[in-house]
Amino acid sequence: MKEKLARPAGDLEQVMDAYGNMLFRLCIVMLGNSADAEDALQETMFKYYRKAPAFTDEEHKKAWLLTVVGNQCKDMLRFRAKHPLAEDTDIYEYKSGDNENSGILDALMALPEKFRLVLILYYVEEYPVKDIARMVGKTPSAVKMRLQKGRKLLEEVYRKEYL
Amino acid sequence: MERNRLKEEIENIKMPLAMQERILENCRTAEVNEKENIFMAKNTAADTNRKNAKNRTGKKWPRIATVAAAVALCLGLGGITVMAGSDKLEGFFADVTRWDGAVVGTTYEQATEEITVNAAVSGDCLVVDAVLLKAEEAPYAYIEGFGVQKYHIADAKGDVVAEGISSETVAITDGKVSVALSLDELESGNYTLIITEFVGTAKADQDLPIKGYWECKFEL
Repeated sequence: MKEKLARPAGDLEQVMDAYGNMLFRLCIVMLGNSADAEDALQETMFKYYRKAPAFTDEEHKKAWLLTVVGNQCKDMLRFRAKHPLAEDTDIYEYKSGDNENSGILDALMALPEKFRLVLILYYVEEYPVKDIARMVGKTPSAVKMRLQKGRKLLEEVYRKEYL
Repeated sequence: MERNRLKEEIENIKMPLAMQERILENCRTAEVNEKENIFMAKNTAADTNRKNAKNRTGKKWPRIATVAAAVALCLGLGGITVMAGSDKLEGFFADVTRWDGAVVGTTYEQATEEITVNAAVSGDCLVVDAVLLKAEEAPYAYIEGFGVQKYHIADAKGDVVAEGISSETVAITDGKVSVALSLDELESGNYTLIITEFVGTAKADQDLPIKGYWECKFEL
């Protein structure tokens, strides 16, 4: 019987403040609709509350959260492949700042999810290839190949549609 | 390519505050439920201990009866083990429970010996041929579509080089199915396909994950 709760009070709020936006960004870009993004994020927070290990530092915690949310999104995509939604959410609804549509987000959303995940972890979260490999459960050479293909595809889509 | 632009645009995506609050509220509810469950479980365990202690007092078996009971139990258990060991492992249904204990689905576990799997490369795909050995029995008799749900591919050193999310399901014909998996990321070499979960689908029914362990070697 597990008698001790895993996290101290107020910890969830701190995690949400520190990493909520980062996790939401990954979810919405991976899943393409806000309801699924919220579900994936909710499950990740439950897992954090119930199953998170003792972290050595903040970087460890961040990497753990990104790994869990990435896997959660993959599960959700697997479910959605068999139970598709009528329409996706417009990602620009959640964008703050200047609302000029450069098209790069649309181009990113047009890529298969396996490319989106590594591109975000590499270009947005700025993780090195070996860390991304650990997070997505691949070898570094497979991640490099995905990055290479993803970059090429992103460039092709972007040039074709927006330049 | 405007890499900085990509980073900038993605970093401008913000989670709505209402959503943030909803998620935290659900976590708090889960926390309260968990505390209540632990409290109830502790009370139940304490009650059971008290009852057992009460039942034990005043009962002293004669030594000979204890020895006889132990011998009978050993003989009985030995017989059961022999009977169980002589048969093959069979699959069974298991409930999928959510964090709050609610049953949200069903899986079919330990199906390794009920499905045989072969894999062969065809073009840039790996064709997985599965034969359902108990096609006339549940759950296979009720399944219309069948697909590979979770798999990974290991190279000759045992490193995982690809893992799969396959959403394709195909119709079962005479207890046999062929599912194609993409191999677009692999270089030539010897590989092992490891499948840990199939999925069975039926019209108007929830998908049934069928779990087990299947290995096939192939060369690319």
